[in-house]
Amino acid sequence: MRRDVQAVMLIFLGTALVRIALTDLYLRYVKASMQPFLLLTGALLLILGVWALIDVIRGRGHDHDEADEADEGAEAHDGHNHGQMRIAWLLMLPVLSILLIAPPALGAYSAERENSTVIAPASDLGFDPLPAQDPITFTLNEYATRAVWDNPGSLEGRTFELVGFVTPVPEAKLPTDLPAGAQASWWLTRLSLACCAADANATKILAVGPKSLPANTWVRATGRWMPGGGTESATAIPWLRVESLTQIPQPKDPYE
Amino acid sequence: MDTEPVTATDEAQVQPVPQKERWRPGGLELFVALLVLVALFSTQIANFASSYPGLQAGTTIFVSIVVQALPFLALGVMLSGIITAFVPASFWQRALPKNQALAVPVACASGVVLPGCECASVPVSGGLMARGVAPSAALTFLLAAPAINPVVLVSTYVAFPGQPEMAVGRFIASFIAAVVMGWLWLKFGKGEWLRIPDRSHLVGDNKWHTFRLTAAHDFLHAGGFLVVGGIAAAILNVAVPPSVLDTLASNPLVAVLVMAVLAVVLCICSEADAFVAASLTQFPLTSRLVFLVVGPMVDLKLIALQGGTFGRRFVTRFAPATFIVATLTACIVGWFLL
Repeated sequence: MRRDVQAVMLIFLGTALVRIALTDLYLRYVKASMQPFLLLTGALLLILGVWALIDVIRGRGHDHDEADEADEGAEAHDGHNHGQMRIAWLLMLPVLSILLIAPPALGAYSAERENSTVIAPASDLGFDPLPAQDPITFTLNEYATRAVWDNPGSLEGRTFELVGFVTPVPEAKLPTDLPAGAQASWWLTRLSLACCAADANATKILAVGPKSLPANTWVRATGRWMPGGGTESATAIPWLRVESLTQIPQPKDPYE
Repeated sequence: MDTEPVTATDEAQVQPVPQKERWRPGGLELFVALLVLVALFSTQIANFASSYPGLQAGTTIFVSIVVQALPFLALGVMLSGIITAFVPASFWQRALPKNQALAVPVACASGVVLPGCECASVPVSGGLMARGVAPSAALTFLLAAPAINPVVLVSTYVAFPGQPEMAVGRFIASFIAAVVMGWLWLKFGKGEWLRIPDRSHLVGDNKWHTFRLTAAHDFLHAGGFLVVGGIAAAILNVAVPPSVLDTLASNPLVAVLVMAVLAVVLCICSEADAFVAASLTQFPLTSRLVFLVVGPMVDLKLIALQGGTFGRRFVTRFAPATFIVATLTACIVGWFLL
């Protein structure tokens, strides 16, 4: 890879990082806390790239001796590193996918494959009392953790408002012990990241009641806790009797 | 062919001709052509991907791995540039013990101060070697830094609530494995296996110029290999259904092997892998410790990065040896501690 291409590659990569960090697109790929680091890295790459480009242009544009020297340098560099630096062309892949395609956040496909994991609370001190508001706005993880690990029935009688997307339940995974007359065909789902999308973890809650919806539809669901789905197990999938359902646009941060 | 009539007819244009020949197509032209092509067809590409959810999830995971790793790679590259440009070679001779066998544990302990994950440590240790640090010490640093720095240990402590022995075990096992690998290299390693990065072409007119050349070169070079590792990890992430794991977790020996292999193929950052290990509740604790010790030392992304930096002959020996040493050390430490 020649020096001018190296400079342009650095500039494009820097632009890509700054762009996703400034437009919330980065929230599809990493956690919110990465934003300043992405901006810093993007700025750094832009500086390196522009600096290199100025060098290349100055080396070409100056009087003969200097231009010769610069070109010799560039050639020695090329000759020496020809095979080694060819690998840098692969950076086109992230540049093109970020700037031109920007793949969407992970959704129902990944959520269905991941086992739901409800990690036990850190302390043995038990849970704080439920907030007084009505309905209670919880993250899926807050609802699931209490439903699975708190005393059975602690959520009884309260109304909850949860936001997530629709993941259709495969036939084989539908619970067989639903109360008579109740129907369920999808999980209310949210993915969470520890670091990046490679380690995404799914929280699923069985939506009991509503008709089936297409996968990846974002909804705000209001409903009541109902027993079922198992407790005291990290792989339990708690239930929610859905009373009302609003379709909403995807939240700014699609992960929890 | 095209140039001949020009030189024959017009003397004034003789000058630019040799420059035009040097302007091989394939550089900037190829770059622009690719950009235009993808820009023209971006909607079609996006539509194609969305009709295959697996492909789409894989692309997202790939972009995510690269975006997450780039800041750490940049940090490593800056440090490597600073080491090359501003720290005189004599500093390392004074800082590290003359005795190479002693230098190994010292280098290992100094890994505590690099608060990054594995992407940062490869260019840094390359820079150290280029500055005359013994390969055994630089390689120990390479293995230790991403595993035992405070950020990683704290995240391990947080990910395993009520089980501080996981963070302790991780520190001890990683430390031992890194030192053992350094000593093994000292005893059996051959200099010819290792392509110590040659930086003579990166020496600039002044320190800042050298810094710029080194940083830009290291970043693009390592970035390319990061892309290779990211693609491999994304494919495997989509191709291996997590439900397969449940059946493999019941036998302790199989569980250890599965977790060691998973650590290699999943390529999770050392700052995040503890949360993944914590969520794989079906596996016994010792096998999860293996996951935490192997991951920062050997994974597909690192193999690609190390192969690119130190050469293929190096990585085909170093990576398998590290894999075995790290797995065994973690098992032994896990046996006593967990």
